[in-house]
Amino acid sequence: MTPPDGRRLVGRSPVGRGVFAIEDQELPLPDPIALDTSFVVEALIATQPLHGVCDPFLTRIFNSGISIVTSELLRVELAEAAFAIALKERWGGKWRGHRTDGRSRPRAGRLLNHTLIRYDEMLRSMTHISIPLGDTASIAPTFMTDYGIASYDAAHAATALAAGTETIVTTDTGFALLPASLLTVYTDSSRVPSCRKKRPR
Amino acid sequence: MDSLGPSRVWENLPHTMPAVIFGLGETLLAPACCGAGRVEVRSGGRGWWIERAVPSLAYCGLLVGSDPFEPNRFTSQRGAAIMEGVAKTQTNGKIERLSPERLAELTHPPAYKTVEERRAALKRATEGFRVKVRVTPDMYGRR
Repeated sequence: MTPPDGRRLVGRSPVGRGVFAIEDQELPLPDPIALDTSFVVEALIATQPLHGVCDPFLTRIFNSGISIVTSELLRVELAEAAFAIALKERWGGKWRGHRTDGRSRPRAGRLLNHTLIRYDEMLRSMTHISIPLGDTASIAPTFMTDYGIASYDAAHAATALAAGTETIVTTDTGFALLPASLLTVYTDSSRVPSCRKKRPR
Repeated sequence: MDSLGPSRVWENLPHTMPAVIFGLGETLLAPACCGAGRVEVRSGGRGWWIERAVPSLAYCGLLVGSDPFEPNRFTSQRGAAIMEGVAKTQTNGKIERLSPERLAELTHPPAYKTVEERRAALKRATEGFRVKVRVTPDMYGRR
């Protein structure tokens, strides 16, 4: 897959190892492109450290008019994140032990609604392909056993490939456990070296 | 005509096919019994051997009218279950891309018609959502 300017679109280069920085304004955008939960969290929540990187890249995707691919798992992960935010705001580092504390639930409910409303607004703003987990259930475990990738990462990677894209936007370096021939990783520049280091040789 | 009826015809098995069919305690070398390439199951002669092998033939899907994916009176659910298992094994490890029809089903166009509306929606999605803590991957089930 080579764009008109002759630049390689996906990572087959031994130097790049299929990992590219989303800060690069010249970075080609394949159509469609898959989004991971970690990227969406950074893009939606203004107080996240990578919001200043992920929000502009999401805008660039929007401006290019390409389609986005997401797993149905993403919505569940966002809901989980919103719930955990409420717990962490109240309990700090000990939030995991207070999951059943009813006092955090009203705040958790509001955060959950805010998060999902924003996610839906994002999806409504562009063409998106939502892949059910059932459509990727057969290949995701294979990624886990073949490459040691975590289960949620495997589900998102399988989602991308099932939809016919080889590129995922993420801030999770775990996707680099898949070979470059299988999946190209677009991530923030601070994670590029660690992703390239993780790539199987 | 035997009790199996004229519809039980075993046909088009290549003569060179070394199909050895095990069944009913005996082994039947298929090409040897299929000289013309189309054999009706009748009582007596070589048809008798084929008749004895009918359960095996049906089980292997070699009998005309027997679909290995469709349970019959010989295979019940076993044939279908085995074929399903084989199918899963054969697709294991391969990249399964969704068909264009399936992708079309799962594709949602933008809900807003104009670019301005869509841009405003994206802005609403990404601006102004502030929380008091940093969201880390373990908060949504990652490492």
